[in-house]
Amino acid sequence: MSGSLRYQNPELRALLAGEYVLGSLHGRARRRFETLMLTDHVLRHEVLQWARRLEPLNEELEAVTPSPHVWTAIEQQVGAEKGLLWNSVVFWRRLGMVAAAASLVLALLLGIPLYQAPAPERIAFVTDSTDEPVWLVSAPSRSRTLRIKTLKSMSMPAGEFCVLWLVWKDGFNQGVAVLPDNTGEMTVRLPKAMKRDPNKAELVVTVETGDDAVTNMQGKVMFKGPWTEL
Amino acid sequence: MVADSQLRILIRLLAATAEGDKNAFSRLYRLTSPKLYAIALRILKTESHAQECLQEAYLSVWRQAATYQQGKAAPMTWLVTIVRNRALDMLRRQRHELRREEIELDLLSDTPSEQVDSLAIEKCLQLLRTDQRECVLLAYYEGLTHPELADRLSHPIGTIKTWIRRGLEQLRQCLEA
Repeated sequence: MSGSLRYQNPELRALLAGEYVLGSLHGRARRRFETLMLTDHVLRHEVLQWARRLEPLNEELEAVTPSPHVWTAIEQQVGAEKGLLWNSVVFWRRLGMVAAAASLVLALLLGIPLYQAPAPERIAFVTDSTDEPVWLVSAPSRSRTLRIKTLKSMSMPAGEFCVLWLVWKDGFNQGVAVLPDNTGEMTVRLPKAMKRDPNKAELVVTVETGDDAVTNMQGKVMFKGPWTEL
Repeated sequence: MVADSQLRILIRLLAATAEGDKNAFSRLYRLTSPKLYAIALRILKTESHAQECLQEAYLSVWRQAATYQQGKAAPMTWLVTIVRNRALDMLRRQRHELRREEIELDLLSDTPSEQVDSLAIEKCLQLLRTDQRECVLLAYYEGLTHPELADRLSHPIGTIKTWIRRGLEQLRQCLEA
């Protein structure tokens, strides 16, 4: 509690934003700050202001032309992405901490819709190939409910659904929900009969087509990733 | 004037990139990559890491250009933020591989004179105490964390934190004055 109260002090918030941009804020404090930014547009504004203030420091740096092979590599990857369909496997990318961190930062700069709810204990971003978060899944502290927020609307081909699963290490899986394809938020309560700890599971998204989409995992795995503990 | 027209060019190139114009993207790369590469190199130290960072950053730019919003940040601020965050992420992953290097503070003392007056931040930096300035610049340029700054500058973490906070606060006041 004292942690969240600290962030209500405007001067401290401004300083932490400065330290975030500076890069000296690190580890858990940095992660906590990034989570706060998700729900706090004033803080994001503060961060942007610091980015603007400090950016002139780079004027001091002498430009260095990178080796031509960097551009060749970029060009090749850009070329390979041409004509991607949403349901191509390449569209999806395994969520890693790195992807999540990059998404977070871009997201806050670009002002994705905010997540308005009590502070979650664990979150996971389901990202697409552009590293943009499509869904934010969160688990509030000591609760058997999961919140799913759609951050980017997706147009799904008729008859196909993205389904979210919890998958434990021994392979046991629990269907959670068909993920919404328009922007919006949903809360899912896990069945009482399911005694396993959702926090120990990995999040998996598959594309399913049948009527038993949420009970029978058959589709292609498009995304797989762990929770990020806050 | 030059800065103004460059700003407009970058905005136009980003907008064209967002529409999938590869020539515009290529031009954007040519115009901005030397500066961004220098930033990545400064933080990551080795060419191979800086190149990897640059590559990932420009792929993000290609994919995310459509979400760039003019009103929120100047193109360079946006690009620098993408590169710095990539670089800081990589640095955190590779921290243990980093070699300790001597502080390079030459940029503090050898600032080209014609630039001093042109940059508000330069003036404001000069108002900071030397130790505060060192801390702020080392953190920004090299992505050093509090413990690393304490180690590098041989002062307790508490002192480092105070220097950074006071330094930032003074910078903010000076820049907004």
